[in-house]
Amino acid sequence: MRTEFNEIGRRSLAALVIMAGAGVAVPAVAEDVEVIHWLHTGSESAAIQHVANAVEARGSTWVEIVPPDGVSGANALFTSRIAGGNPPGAMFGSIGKQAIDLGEQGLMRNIRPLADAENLIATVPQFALDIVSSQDGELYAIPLAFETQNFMWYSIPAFEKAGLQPPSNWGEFLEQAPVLQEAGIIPIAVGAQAWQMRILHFSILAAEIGQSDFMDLYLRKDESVAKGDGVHNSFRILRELSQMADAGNANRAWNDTLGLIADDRAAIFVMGSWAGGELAAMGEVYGADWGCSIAGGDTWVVGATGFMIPDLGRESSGQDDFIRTILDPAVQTAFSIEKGSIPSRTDADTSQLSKCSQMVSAGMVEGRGVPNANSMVSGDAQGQIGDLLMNFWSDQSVSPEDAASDFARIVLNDY
Amino acid sequence: MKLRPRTVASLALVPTILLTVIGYYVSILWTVGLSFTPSRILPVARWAGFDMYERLFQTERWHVAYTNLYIFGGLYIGFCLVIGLGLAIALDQSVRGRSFFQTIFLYPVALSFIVTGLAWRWLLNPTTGLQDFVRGLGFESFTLDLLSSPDRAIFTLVIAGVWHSAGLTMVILFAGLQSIDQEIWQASRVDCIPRWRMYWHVVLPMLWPVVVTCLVLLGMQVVRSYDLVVVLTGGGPGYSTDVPAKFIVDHYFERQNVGLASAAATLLLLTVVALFVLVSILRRKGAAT
Amino acid sequence: MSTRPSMIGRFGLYAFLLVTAAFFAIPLLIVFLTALKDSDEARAASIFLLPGSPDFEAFRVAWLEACIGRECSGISGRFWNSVIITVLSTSISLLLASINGFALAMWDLRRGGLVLGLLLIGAFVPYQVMIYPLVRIFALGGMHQTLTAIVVVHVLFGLPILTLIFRNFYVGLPPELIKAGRVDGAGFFQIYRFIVMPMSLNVAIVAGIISVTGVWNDYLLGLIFAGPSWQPMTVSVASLSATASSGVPEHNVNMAATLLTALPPLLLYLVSGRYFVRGVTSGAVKG
Repeated sequence: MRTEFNEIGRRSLAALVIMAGAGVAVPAVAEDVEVIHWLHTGSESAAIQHVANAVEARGSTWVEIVPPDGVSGANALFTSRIAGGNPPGAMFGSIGKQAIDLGEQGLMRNIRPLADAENLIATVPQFALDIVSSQDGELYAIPLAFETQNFMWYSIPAFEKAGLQPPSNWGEFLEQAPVLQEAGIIPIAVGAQAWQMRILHFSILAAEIGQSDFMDLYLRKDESVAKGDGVHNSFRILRELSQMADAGNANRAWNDTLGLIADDRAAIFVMGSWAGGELAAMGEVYGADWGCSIAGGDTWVVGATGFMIPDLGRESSGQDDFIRTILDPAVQTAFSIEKGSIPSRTDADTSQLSKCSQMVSAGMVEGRGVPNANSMVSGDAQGQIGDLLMNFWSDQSVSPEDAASDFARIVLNDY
Repeated sequence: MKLRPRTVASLALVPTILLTVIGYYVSILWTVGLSFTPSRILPVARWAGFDMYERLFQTERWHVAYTNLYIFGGLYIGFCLVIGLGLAIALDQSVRGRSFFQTIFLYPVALSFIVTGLAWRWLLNPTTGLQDFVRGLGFESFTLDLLSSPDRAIFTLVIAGVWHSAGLTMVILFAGLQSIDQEIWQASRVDCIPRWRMYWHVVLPMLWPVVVTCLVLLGMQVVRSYDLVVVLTGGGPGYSTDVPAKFIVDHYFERQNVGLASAAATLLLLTVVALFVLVSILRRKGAAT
Repeated sequence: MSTRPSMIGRFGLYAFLLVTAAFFAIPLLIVFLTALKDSDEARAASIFLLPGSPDFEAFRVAWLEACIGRECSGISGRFWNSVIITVLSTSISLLLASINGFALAMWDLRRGGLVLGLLLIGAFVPYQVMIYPLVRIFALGGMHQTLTAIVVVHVLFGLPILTLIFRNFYVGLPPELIKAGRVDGAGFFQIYRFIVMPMSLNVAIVAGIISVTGVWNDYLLGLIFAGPSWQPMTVSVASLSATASSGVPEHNVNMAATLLTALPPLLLYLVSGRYFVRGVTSGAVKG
């Protein structure tokens, strides 16, 4: 602990030095790695602490910058540092198209040589590398963990009341819906906000078109998939769902929507892995009050969380150590236990993860995963898809055919 | 060799000239130049014509932000002038405790927009602020949910902005009132003209140049308004209270779209130029009457 | 001021003044009252209630313990950042501006008007038009997000108005002052140092108040040019409350931190009211 007096002294001294004309920033010591992240609340902070300790254990110094205002503040700082010619060693976030954009502008480091030489990424699912690799295979970011997007959370008492079993696909669910309604239960809880609608839609889509078409559609912008029956079906299902949702769905926050499951007023809710922790926090018991399964099909949609690695323009053993740490299976396990996610390396120990997480990691080992659709399209296209879904959801006069062709146009026109 | 003092005087200006030319003029030209490139996070020197401007005009958020500039600006300047003038005239009536009142009206000017925004965000918060208080008094149906309504959140900016700046308007207008020749009042008494008519027909036209000064000052605040929006509404709900200054900073430093941000900045610059033309017309009009 | 207004008019006048005074006074008053409460009371009790057991605990927490991101050492560090940035920026600006003002006002320089014009036009351009190129310029010098960067931008954006204030003051000084100095063989800086500077105290106070409040209250420039290690108080206070709103809200600590940020310019205003008023209006009157 540095005393306040020393702090003042240090700053005044720094001020004097700079006043004296030595106005150039002191270059960081070679072993430092500067990391921008925004994990500052309880369990998140504990999760990142495991990473910090492991970096320090390798002999490098962990220097973290944590903008208190979250994602947007971190992003602004990251951009400013890059534009200012002084990039940080690593930047936390959901990794995806942005890393490729920056890589193509020559601002990201190609991690592939180091990762291949030390055999660090052989067990990371290929799709998680594809979404942050250039066409000629340069790798710009490293996945640390996966956040599952397409869980179906269900209320066990609600299904018992209607005398049904939780469905295994969307067709089955649509048949169950009238029975649930008759039993006085809202078949599906929905919060009509753009990001929640996107999750619901791409979860249905993943169930309907499966793994390889999902990748062809979003990553390779394949026209035959975009205009095919699968996309069309996804909008037909969404239209039926929009007719059975409760009146309060407009602009409802996700945790309020989840409350309908906790209160057994609704049967299912499609939402990401973070909902599990929230249900537990609401005092609900897994296996008695609620359960989880995949929202149709057998393909898990997972958001890759990790770090973008900027090009520092010099060798940095600190950055190297950081990369090794992030791809260390033991570190990944420790991080994911705290954060409620699953490790990006399929050979990491998952025995201590939650039951729901273990379900997903088993799927990953079998190669049944795709990346979050959001990470494969530009922010611009994400916004347009959100607008489209919101409009389709609230305006019953828009036909599924029209919505499907609008959707295809947006995806195919994305750069 | 000994330089002549006048040469030294010229040389003494060199640091400032360099700072100004580089800091202001090179920067401005650079920004205008960037608005014609497809620059993302770093500048690229590729000509993109008016692509960025076209994209800007297709961006709904920009239209909202630019419209807000006029909604917020009009209401903020209007209320500042009306309240400022009212207070200045009131204080001009030889009231007791004038300096006490002045101190209270003016102190918000000393505060940052950050502090202003934080205080008002808290007061206007439906669950902790005024709404809760009034409901606690027994008016259960009282609602003051300005902050959470996309249509009305802009008024919170106006309220907080006026609270911050009306005192400044008052001081400037009061100084203007004090400098008016006291003989006009004696003349008015002789002719039995009511005071309000004197203010409306005689004093106000004489104050015109001072009013224009206030317009310029408040106008600059409007164009620059960033801090208050960031703290009070964050531009929300959605982007309903976005303003150009925030749109620009967000696109430079968050969206990593330097080309688009530069185009927006150039349009803001043109707006300021237009504002200046308007003010000089107003000045001339004031001089003519 | 001699027509005798009716009693009703008089009553209306004071009613208007008192109501408006309440509108201006109440927000800060409530912020202050809340800062004196403890955390539970600030959350549960009505905002207009007086604190049950007023104390300055929230101020202590805000100063030394409040969490900004993962770091929980209060805003004191950022307070000193703001102090250093303000002191450096103000002293450099005042020195430069007074030399400029002196040179422009009393030496009848060729193109002096042009220099002043260049300065003043720049002052009306919104910062947003210039920030990105400035970031790139600092990047070229390897100075982005350093103390130098933040001080230089404050000096840059403060110079026009301060130069104008000094120039307007010096224009009013008798030209004989310089002539006398010249006769004695004094150079430009000697006249500035020994004749002009000692006469400039009043105008320097006015200019200083403008500079100090301007730099202290700045948010945008601090956000972009200061970086995490020189982050000024305004920036951290803005995010301090953002943090609290996501976790358990500690209104009393937020309010205390807000007040601590507001205190220096507020004291300056209360102590030097007359100069302050001259400061805020002197730029405007010529503007």
